[in-house]
Amino acid sequence: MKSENDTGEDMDRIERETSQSIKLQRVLRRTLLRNKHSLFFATIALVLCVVAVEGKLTDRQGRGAQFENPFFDLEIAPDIRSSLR
Amino acid sequence: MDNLAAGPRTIRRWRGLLLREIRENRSLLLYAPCLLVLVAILLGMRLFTLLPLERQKAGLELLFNRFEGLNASDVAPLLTSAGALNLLFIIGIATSYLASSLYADRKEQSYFFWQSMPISDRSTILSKVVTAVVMIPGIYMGVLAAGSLMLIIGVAGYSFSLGVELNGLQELFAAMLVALGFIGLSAFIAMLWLLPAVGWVLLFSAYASRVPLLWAIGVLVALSLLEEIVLGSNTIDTWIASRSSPWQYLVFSFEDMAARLLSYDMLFGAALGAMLITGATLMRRFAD
Amino acid sequence: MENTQQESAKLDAKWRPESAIKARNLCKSYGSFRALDGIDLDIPRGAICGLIGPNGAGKTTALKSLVGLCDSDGELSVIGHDPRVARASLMQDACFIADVGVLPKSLRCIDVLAYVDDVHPKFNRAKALRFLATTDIDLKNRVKTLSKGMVTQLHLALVMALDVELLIFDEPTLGLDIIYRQEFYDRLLTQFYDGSQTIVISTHQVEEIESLLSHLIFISHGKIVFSTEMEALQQRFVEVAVAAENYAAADGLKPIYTRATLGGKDYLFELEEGERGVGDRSRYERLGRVSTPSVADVFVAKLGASHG
Repeated sequence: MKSENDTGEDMDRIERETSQSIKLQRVLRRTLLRNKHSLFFATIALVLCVVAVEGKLTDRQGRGAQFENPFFDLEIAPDIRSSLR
Repeated sequence: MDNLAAGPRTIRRWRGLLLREIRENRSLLLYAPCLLVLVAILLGMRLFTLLPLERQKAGLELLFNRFEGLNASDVAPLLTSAGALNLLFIIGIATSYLASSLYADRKEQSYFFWQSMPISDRSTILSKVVTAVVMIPGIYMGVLAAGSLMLIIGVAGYSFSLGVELNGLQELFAAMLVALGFIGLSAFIAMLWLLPAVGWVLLFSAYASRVPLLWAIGVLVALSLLEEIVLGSNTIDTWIASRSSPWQYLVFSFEDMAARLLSYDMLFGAALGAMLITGATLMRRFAD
Repeated sequence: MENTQQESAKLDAKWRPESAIKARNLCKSYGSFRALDGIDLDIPRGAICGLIGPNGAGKTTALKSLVGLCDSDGELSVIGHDPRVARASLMQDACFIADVGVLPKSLRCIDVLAYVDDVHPKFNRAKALRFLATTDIDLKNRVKTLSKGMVTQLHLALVMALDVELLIFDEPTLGLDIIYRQEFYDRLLTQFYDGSQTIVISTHQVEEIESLLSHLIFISHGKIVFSTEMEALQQRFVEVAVAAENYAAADGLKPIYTRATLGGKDYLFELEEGERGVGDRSRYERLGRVSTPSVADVFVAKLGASHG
């Protein structure tokens, strides 16, 4: 009896989820996936929103291009230069 | 006929997908690296031979003697930094490959042939990403390694003929190998770092009805201008500037590599790249 | 006993014809232009179906929708797959030749073969090579150096070496000369078709494929104007060469189409449901010589009516 109930609930759940995913698909097909332009603008808008929100959250600073090398010293270089002169 | 199990089937399919990219883009993927490396070597040789003979000899003596007794891994970063210019070539090749990758087949209408094969849009586009991120740096590095080897043999021979002693040849050679390895790894990491750009160019390649690369650059510049004018902010510029330092993807040791791969910015960039690549994948359904 | 079983199996198959392609209210718009305007299709397995229509009727869009090469709305099942969500798995059992017979131009023929061999689990490379050996194609050449006829031969070789259930051809012989066109259909029938596959061909040169078809669909302005089995077509239409003195009588029978010929007029009649037997043609025979109309005549008659 219990197992029947379970199966019944499972079936209900599957049906509910399936119809939800179909609904979602239909909504998407009518909006974002309507044509290539809507998809294009939606993708770019999504990415820009994520960048903007992330920029706010992490207080992102444009450091500009850093050309200081933080990893090692090119000790050998001035030496070579001087001896090449 | 289909006597292959699922695993080997997948490997076989991926072999087909990646070989397709090489065969279709032979000039960009194979000949362009050869030409670039060859021209760089010839140009270097020509400039060097313009020097007076004494200066040539002094330079070569310094080159070989300087490395004598040094540890290859200590010297390699110098060569790696010098060789990092090759990354620009790799990025250039990858960009022009990506820009045409989802555009050329629509234009010549071979799109209908490719789409009539049992390959999903996701696999198709993943194969383009793998080509840009792994194959292009890989092939370029192979060519660069071969070129470097020939160069070092040539220089050693020339030095020998000038009577320069080749004391540090062994160390120089070892340092070159190490440097080549790290340039290759840097190129791979740079392409991963550039995944948002990869996705951006792919999106335009799938979308634009002509000159996809121009559109990709133009729209980015226009968006950044528009943001400044309309909102008075610089989110886009800031984001790009914050990840434009070469020290964010150049590697000089294996520890560097793990740090680069797992950095927050790398992972966030990859997530953005994935969004754009998904957009490009969905765009294929409107390709007709 | 065995016989009865076999016969009942046959009957079953007859009563529950399994559709290779089933579509209900299939629609596709490009902006405000409705390329497909609510199409219903039922193409049984094993059929060779001709999709006939004037330029811009929606033939190409219909065929592309069937293999998931363009998006569409409505219900659609193609050999058990929905091409819009499962194109990749559908294409393991189906293949498609587009009207713009384009293989990738920058590849060598041998590379195209190698690619299909790698990605298609049902490709028989040896079979394709056997077929290509009978042509003048040098496999080392790039596709762009081949003539249009050779590109079609190459594509046909690839397709015929695939062990698939469904072939969809969109104007496969467009722009080819008569020798290539004849050879294309000859090879398709003699070297590929064994009665189990389903073939859908679109063309506007009906007369060339008329003899191969088992089913016929006329399409115009994104709608199906008329569809029939070929056998039924012969029972449904009669063409009568009417002499001048019988024009009035013939006009009285409401022809769907008339055409002036040397020394008279050809009348095309669509028979009522009840008349469609062999014995019921006497009233037409009185008017003149009765013959079976060609598909092209029926096509012009039907589409002329739908246009007018």
